Amino acid sequence: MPKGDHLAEFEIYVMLAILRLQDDAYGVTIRREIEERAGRPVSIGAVYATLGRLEEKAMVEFRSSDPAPVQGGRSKKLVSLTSDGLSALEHSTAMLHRMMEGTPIAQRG
Amino acid sequence: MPRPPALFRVLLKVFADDRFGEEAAADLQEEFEAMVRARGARAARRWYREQVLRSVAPFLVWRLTRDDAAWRNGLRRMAWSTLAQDLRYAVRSLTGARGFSAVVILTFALGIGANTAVFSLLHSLVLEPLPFQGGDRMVQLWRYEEYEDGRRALVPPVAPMVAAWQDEGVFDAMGAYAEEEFHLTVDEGVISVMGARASPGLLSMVAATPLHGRLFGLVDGIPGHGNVALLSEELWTSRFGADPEALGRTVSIDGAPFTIVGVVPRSVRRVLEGGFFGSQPKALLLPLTADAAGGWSGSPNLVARLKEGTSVATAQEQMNVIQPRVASLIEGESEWHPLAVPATEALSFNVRRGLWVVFGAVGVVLLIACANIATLLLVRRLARADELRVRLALGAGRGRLGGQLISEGLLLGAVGILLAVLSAGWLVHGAIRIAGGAIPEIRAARLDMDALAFAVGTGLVTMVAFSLIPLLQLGKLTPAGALTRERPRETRRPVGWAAHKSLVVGQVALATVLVLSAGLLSNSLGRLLSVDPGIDTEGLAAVGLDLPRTRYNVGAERIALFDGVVRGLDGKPGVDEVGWARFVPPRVAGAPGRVEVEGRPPDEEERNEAHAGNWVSPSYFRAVSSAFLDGRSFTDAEIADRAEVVILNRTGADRIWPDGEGGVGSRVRLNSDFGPSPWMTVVGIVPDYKAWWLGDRPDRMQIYLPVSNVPPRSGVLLIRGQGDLGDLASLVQAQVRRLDADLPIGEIYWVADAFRQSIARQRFQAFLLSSFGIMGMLLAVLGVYGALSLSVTQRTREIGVRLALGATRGDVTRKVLVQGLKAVTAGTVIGLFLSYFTSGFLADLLWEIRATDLPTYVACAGAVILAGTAATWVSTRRAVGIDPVDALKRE
Repeated sequence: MPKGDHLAEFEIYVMLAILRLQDDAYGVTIRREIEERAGRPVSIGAVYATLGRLEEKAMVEFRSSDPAPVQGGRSKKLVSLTSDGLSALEHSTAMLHRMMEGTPIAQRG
Repeated sequence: MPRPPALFRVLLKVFADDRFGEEAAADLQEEFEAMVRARGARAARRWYREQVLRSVAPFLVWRLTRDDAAWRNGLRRMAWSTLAQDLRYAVRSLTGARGFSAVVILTFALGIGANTAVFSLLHSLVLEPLPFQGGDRMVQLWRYEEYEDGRRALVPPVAPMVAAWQDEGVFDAMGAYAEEEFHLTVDEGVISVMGARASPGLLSMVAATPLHGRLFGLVDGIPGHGNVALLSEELWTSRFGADPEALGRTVSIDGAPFTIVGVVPRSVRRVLEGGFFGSQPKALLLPLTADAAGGWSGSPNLVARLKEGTSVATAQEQMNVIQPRVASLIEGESEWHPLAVPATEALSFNVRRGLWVVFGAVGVVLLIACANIATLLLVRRLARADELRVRLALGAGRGRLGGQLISEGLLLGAVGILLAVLSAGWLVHGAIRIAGGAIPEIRAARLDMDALAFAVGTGLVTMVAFSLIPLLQLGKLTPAGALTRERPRETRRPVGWAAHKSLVVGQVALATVLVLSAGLLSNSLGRLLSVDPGIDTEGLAAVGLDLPRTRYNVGAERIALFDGVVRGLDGKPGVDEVGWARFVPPRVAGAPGRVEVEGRPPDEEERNEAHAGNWVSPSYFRAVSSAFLDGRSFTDAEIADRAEVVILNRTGADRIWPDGEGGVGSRVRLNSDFGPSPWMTVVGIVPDYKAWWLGDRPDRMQIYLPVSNVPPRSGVLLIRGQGDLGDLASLVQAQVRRLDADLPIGEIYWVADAFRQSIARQRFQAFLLSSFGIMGMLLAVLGVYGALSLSVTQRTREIGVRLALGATRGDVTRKVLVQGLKAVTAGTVIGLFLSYFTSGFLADLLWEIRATDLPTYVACAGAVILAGTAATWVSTRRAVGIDPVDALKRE
């Protein structure tokens, strides 16, 4: 895999959150997911900056949802992983597992 | 639903990019609302702020790493588009209220313009009359002798004094100058050029730098070393075509060769003509040569710069200590004392006093202007309250509304500033034109940029602050509340007529003070202008003639030349009368000495002191159309024989012969410090004339001696004729050239103009104060109109009810009229009292009129009341135009 396809830590979190949220993945939900699971405050700016970088690398794609069925309801920018993104994520996580093998952390985890 | 903090919303918009900015904002809004429901508005706002602050860095980093120039342009575009929109709206809004806008702009412009103009004048005349490094440490050096009555005669110091001061190092630097008229030979012939001889140190003291070439060096001051000359920029342009090749050329000055070594810039020349260094024009500069002792030859005027940290008093002390040593070296010097005069005292004291009065007047104008603008903006507040409420209801944020109001204020301010600069420039220019002759320091006055900047800044801040008043008045009004016309507590009790009345009364009172001051000064000026100068100045021209030092060393030769010119001009077409004398009014010299009558013991009283003296030719009295009350003019024979004869003025004769005996045929003599003159026979008595200025006291003794008494080297030719100055000048020059091809004539002028010039200070003060009087009146009228309109607007409902209940429009009109007139009258009366008690300030500036002159008081009060009534009347039109049905429908 080309060097440019390696993912940074936060990028992995965002992509994993997208994977879990499936059709409900957009700014608010992604941010909340990471904040709850990672246990640290996450800003919306960090989320979107990361999504932007991922979009540039063609690892995520966006689509607009239908507007919410309430007065003044808005259409959200839903995000999902591309096939390239999915394989990059699999590759990065696999690499992490391979690195952890045989270390005290792997035994504890 | 509460809203997230506006500032942070803006912050997010600024830093987030085009791609995700809206999404991020929408997401945050969604979470904000959820948080409000879950934890309350306060917590939600806190969370929002944190989110935005945390998001700034990631967005920025992404932006920068993406090298997103589009973002930066977007930011600029957003700011400009908001500004452009606000300005467009402001223009629409203001052109819809043209009356209001025009008045505010005018008020702003007048207030700032007047303030800046007067401060600029004050700056150049009083605060910084010598605008160069060390200018505040400059002093003039004199020596004086004190008379028994306390008067002092000031003359330049003598060389041993100067040398002693230099040796003792009393001063940091010293310079000398002597004003002179030079005869410069150019292609067209010999011309007369006013200039001065200056020591090399003088030019460096004023921090002069040459425009071209160089200035004088120390070496140029050594006699015989080299004759060099400096041209002023104007002379270089007019006579030498601004040719750089002129440098190094040799020209003939007073018959001797001089090399042009440099050109002096305009700014330096202004300083050198500003009064501190004498006020004669200095188009040409020659070096002042040092004499063998190291001092300066002749008795030039001396100036010096004090050492840093030394006061004038200290320097004076040092000079006093040195003086006895010097006095012992010179015979007769023991009566003389040294004197150092700082620049602030050396320049026209009277002008300074007058200017401070004017400055006070400007302050008053400003006060009126502020009161005016306050009233006008209050009027506008009411008119806009509804509009703002509706816009608030439609969702406009307070910030946005505020931005638009500020734009309006700035727009008004900007136009006002433009007008202010124009009016300030006009005022300064007018002042220079009127007073530049008699108050040379004014010539250097320029529009002071610091004053302008300060006034503009203050004005803009005030405008912006006042513009926001409508917004503040809306208080805690919510959009929903706005629609239901809920009126916030603050506007439930609108400011009533009582408060506005005091504004109106105050404005009218101040305007009255201004108008009265202007009236008194104008009255005083009018009296001055109608003074009879004592000679017939209609069509009378004067031109100076200076005979060069190198020739005409015999008195008879000098008289012969002048007589020859007069004879040549006599009878020429266009010439009615011609004559000559040493001086012509109003530039006659003083005459030291007392007149004694033969056969009577010398009268020690001052009443026989001669005040003005002139040496005249027989043709002089005919030329000035002065008819003899008794006796006759001098005869040519008496001139040729150098007879001891004299002519006196009416007042002089009455003084020395109060009981009518004596007069023509009696003998008198002049007794001065130089001893008594020979006994002279009185051959004629003439009417009094104004020797120095139109305001000369009428009780002065004036004597006329024949030109043979002391044949003058410089004199004045008088020509009464038709034609303009140019024609007359050509005629005179032709006659002079006929007798002496190398003799130029001086500047020709109308004697009437010279008399007008002699009261330039009074004209200047009257001009300034009248301008401010008119301004003040205008502003007060606007203020009255504004305040009454406001009152009418506020009472629209009440007036509508009255009309509906059967009151006639006449009743309504009368009510408003009475309301306005009461305020105007009260203001006028207060103003009159104020003027009366402050009349002392004006007293010194007035001539032949008291500062409490009743007719002037009555006339000015009448004018103010009339103007106030007119303003009141116009505002009643507004009241009359109210439709009762509309009025009742309001609110």
